[in-house]
Amino acid sequence: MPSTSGRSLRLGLFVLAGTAVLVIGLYLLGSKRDLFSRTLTVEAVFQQVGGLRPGNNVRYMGINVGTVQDIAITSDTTVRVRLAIREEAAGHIRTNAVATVGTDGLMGNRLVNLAPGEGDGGPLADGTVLPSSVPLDTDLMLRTLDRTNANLAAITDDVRELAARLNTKGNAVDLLADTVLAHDLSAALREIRIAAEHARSATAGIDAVLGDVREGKGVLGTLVGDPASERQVRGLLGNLRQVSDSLHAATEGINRFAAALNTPGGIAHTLTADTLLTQDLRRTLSRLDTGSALLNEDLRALQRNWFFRGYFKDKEKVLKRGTRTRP
Amino acid sequence: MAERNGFHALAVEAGELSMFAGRFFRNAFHRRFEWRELLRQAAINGSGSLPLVGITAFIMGLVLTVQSRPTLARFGAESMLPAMVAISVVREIAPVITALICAGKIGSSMGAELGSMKVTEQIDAMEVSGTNPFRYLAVTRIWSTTLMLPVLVVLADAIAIWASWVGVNIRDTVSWPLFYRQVFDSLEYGDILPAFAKSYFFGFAIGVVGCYKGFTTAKGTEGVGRSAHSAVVVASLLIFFLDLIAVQITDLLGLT
Repeated sequence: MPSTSGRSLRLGLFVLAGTAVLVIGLYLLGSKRDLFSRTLTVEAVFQQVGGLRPGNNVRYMGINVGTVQDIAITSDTTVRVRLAIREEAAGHIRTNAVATVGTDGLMGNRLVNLAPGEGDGGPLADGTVLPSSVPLDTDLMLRTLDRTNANLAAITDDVRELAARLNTKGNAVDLLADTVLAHDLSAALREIRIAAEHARSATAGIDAVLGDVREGKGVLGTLVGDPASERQVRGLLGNLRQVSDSLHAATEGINRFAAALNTPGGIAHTLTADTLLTQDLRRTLSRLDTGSALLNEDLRALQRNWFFRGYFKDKEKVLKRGTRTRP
Repeated sequence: MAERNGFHALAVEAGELSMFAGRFFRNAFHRRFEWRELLRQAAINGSGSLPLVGITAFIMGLVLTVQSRPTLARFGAESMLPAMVAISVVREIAPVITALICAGKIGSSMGAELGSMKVTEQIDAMEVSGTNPFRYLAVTRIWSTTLMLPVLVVLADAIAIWASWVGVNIRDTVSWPLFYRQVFDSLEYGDILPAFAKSYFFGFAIGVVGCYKGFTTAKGTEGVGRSAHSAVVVASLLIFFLDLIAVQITDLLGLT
């Protein structure tokens, strides 16, 4: 039978061990909820908190810095969340840190994420109200995804229809499969290449010519490069200008003359526009016609007159001879 | 008629057990308290049961971890293993297994010890010599189990969680700091405190049933065996009933 003191010692150790484990366990759980550390209480106002509960973690740059202490509805569109931030962590957080409600992993608990804000902010104090941003809502994401899926389905249908159309006879696929066309195309490309080579050699030729011109070779070069030629050309151009001036003066004279002709009373105007003169002229011409017919008759009568008959017979003989010698 | 007799016997047993428990409460805070005997009983029932409870808790933690891994691995949730094992162990497995082990070990030993004292009329002799046998024998034993079982349960929790870490490290490599962080991240006061509270009732049930069966032993040495056996059976059953009540209360209080 074990001695009483030994038994008491074992019992004491047993009880102490059990109590120690219990106390440590409770302390660890309590420290998780920041029950035993000094905290600052700050607030953030959200439109909705997506199932956030008191006790959920608060993270700053991914590190647990506190817990959600209390959630209260303040109006029909706002929820005020009080956050207990551990004092040693609160020293690093500024008043412009932005609070968002997030999720720990894909399916985990809700939590409040604090992210450093832009610019400088003061140190946190009890009761500071942090700015908040709209949390990432999985429902909203799923709704968007649903819409995207519908769009994707429509696009897939279109693509399928397009593919079906492409596969039918006489369409783009046939065009792509046509070997003759491919041959023609390659021949055309060959031609284009040859043309391009020609163009290149032509360009080279032009280049050479331009080089010659620059160096003063050939007629063009001489023209461009020789100062004497330049003077001649300048002289030529001066003469040309004088000629053109004279031509201009002459043209103006002709114009004036034509204008004078066309003015009422001028010859041209009288000829073209005076109707009386036209009638006179017509009458005169008809009289001339009659006169010439009478004269013609008189002349034929004169030919038969014995006085002049000899002359006309001689003339006829000369004419006949002429036609015989000229076959 | 046998059924009616069975029910009748059960009702009588329940009534007598309740009266025995009432007698304990009447004597529990008596100023002439047997501290020395309480310490002796606490040592026997508490630290004396630790090896058995410790081995059981270690095996339970390890087996639960190894058995749960394939299912969790199928969902890619192996990292949830510490949380799952910790919650199962702390909320249910450690209290119930510890209580059942103690019902077997302590309940049977109480039933047999007190039963043999009863049949050999040592209890009557005590009364004659002026010592209150109930205060000396029953009250100290019931207090010892009531106070020691929660300690055993807490230690069983710790051992089972450590065994779970060993189980995780059979396949994976998880450091102890990470493991216990994952464990405590998943636990809440609502997991530990109801389990801790119900273990007092388990301990009380074991002590009361063991002492009652011992004190009511009759019919000689045969009765001693029957007392030892029925103490284990009734205590075990009572533990499950208490567990059922406890889970409903914690559920009503919103602690589950």
